[in-house]
Amino acid sequence: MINLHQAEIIYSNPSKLNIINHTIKHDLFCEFSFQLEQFIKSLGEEFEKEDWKKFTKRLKRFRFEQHAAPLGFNNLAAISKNEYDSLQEILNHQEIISPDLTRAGRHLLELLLKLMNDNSNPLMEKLIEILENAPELFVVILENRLIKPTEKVISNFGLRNKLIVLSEYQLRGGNCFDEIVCLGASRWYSEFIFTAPRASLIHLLRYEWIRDKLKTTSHFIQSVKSKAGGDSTQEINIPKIERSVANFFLNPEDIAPSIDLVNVGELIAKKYKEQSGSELDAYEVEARLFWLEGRRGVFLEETTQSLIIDLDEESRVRKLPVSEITPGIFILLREGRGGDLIIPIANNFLGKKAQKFREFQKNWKRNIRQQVKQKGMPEVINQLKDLGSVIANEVNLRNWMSEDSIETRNPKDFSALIRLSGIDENLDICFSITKQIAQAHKKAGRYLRKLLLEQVAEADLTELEKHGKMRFELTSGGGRFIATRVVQVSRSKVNIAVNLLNKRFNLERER
Amino acid sequence: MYYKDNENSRKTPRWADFFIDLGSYIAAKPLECTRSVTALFLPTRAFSTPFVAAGIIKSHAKNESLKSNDDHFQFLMDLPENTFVRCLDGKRQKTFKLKGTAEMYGETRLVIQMSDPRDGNARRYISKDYCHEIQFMEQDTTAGISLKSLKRQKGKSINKISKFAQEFLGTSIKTDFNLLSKEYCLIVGNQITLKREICETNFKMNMADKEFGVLQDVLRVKQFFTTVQPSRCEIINPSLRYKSVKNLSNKKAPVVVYDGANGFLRLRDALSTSHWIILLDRTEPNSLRALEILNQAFTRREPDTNLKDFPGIPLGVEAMFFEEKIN
Repeated sequence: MINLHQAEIIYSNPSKLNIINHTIKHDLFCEFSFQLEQFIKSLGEEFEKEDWKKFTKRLKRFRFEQHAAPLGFNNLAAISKNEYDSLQEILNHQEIISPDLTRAGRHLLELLLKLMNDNSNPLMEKLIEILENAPELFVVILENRLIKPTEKVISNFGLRNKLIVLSEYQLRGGNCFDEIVCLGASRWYSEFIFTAPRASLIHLLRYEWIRDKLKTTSHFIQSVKSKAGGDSTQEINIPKIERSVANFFLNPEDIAPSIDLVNVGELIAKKYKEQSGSELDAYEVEARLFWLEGRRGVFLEETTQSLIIDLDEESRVRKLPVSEITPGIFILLREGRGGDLIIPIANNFLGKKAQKFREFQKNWKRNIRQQVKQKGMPEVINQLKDLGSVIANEVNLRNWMSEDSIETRNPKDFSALIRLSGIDENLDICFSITKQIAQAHKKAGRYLRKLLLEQVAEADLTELEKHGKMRFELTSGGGRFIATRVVQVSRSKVNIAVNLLNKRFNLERER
Repeated sequence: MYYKDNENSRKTPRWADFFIDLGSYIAAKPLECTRSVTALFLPTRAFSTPFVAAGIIKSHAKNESLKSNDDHFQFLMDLPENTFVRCLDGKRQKTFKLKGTAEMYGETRLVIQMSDPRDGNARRYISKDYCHEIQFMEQDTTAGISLKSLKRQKGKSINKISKFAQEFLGTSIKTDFNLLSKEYCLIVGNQITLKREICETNFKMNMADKEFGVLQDVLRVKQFFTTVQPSRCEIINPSLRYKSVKNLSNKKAPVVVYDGANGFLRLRDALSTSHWIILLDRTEPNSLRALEILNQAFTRREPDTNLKDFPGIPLGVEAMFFEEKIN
């Protein structure tokens, strides 16, 4: 909770805000950064090849991390000898296929090796220089996975009490600081760092070849004009970038490794389809890809709800429709086997009956899916209607076939589905089984929510705020789950196999 | 206005005045076929809602006090004999029966009676100066009341209007401010945070004042009273189900203040007959979704929005204002 005095400071910061640009030189890193950019451009269509993708991705990551955190060039957390060797392997593999590119690649690796043997840390040196005029500095690290390695470096310099690492998220609350430091380009950071600043002095540390300009535009179509005459848009005093002595510039968006979520989503869907072939059971749903903290991804079904942690709300754990999940929200996912939190708990409640009931549920759904594959959706809908279904249509049929759907609202629809599926079972028994599964799911939902609420209420969520993810171990068979921040949401939906839903995967590997 | 920060008194910041003025400005707008929509994009939402709500209440208190003692006295005199009324009896509000008027000490007084003559009669004679202590009771709240039952009533303890509230509202103690519920503002927001801001931060109007008050004295938030008291504001949680909000009786509050994007995104359609003030935090992830919706709504606005007298906006705050048809 922010008290009034803190709020007063927050409101006063925009008018006092002073942003100081610090540019840093480093000839070797400059050359490496430039050569990498040239290399990527020279790849042309070759860029799509798996080997070159891997090669450039790793080098780009090294380049970005060196811009965004004071890790030092010879830090093993930045790149290890093994990783260097695997990059060499790629070049060896490409030697005969693309000799020119391989030559350029080797030059890049020579530069990289020189950097790996360079024990300088220009960002850290600049931080120490600024620290001469400040009792302490708060360093905002953009990517949360770089926080721990940065803290380690700071600790090695013996500056743990003077250089304090923060995540962007920690600049949302009531704590204000005298001076904060942002590393790299200002536009890598969320806009609020500059428009709702938690410090009156922001140091921007960047290598001199980054082109940087912070634009703050109005968020409203038409803002109300203030009494002073201008509109109410935030005016921020960003000093002009000094004319760089570097011969070239790199755009911030070229350095920050971006992930094209639409592309990744489609790639995964395609890859899975190829792997599963004509498997009749491969049922697909419309899902959206979410980029999670730590460069992980997850597909969530568009029409369902997901458990989230909302630090701003009274009830911290709640359900939110997937379509309403935006970057910055913490979603809760089950770790380990399966992505669904409810089913295993519901099965516990069902006890010995669980296996038989689930088998029944799986069977009739699989049979219906098979019929859809064989006859097509319109034909199955017509047959269901003939068998007495009231609301059979494409959307409803997709929903009924989904693993998440347990019972239909109207018993006539369920009866038609069972009859069409050819399940040889008394209808009353089928209804009874479905009812019991539904009840167990409801009970499991309540139980899980209770466990989660207990855990989250007791937990110190500083780790979640700082690192963007936090693991929770539920007692009494609830399993392990992870709360993780959403970084980006894919603009488009993709049809994906149900068994890929709710499972975290490494986005970098799939990119 | 001053607030207590540890042991010091600090002048409340100028942006607080902006929120209070904004609340008053919107509350004074007529609500007929169109409603006003005011969206603010803020460096922090902290204290914005309590100050806006205080402005809303202040605007209405000004109008309430326009009803003079003369008018209210006349209104009560015109009521038929035996009408049930509520009246302050010491610190408690009790139910009485109106028994006409009587001449006493050279002035006309209202006569109210709490019990049968056999039970002690318990009549009181209320002069014009204190007539605001008597409140008319709607017929549907008086069913089953008899003089006998009135004898046994304990009454409802009434919190007196604090000095801070009186000075803030610029109203006298002789109004129905603490006697009658009037829902002027519905807040959609997190009760825990708002309770701390509204009930645990101390204010006073003058540096010399020894006694502090809290914004609850002004807002009279129903949910923050420990005993049933006449209220001016209500708070609902943003996670409340849409259907239950749609059925709320208090959704008729003339102004709805959305404290954060969550409530706005979920419940706005259920609260469409009020003026809206939407307070969005620049640091909150879902504010951008709310901005998108507001920008879309802006394109459907009523032409010729009048921005005359819109309060001066502090630095760091972005504002949008428009009017739209109530469907």
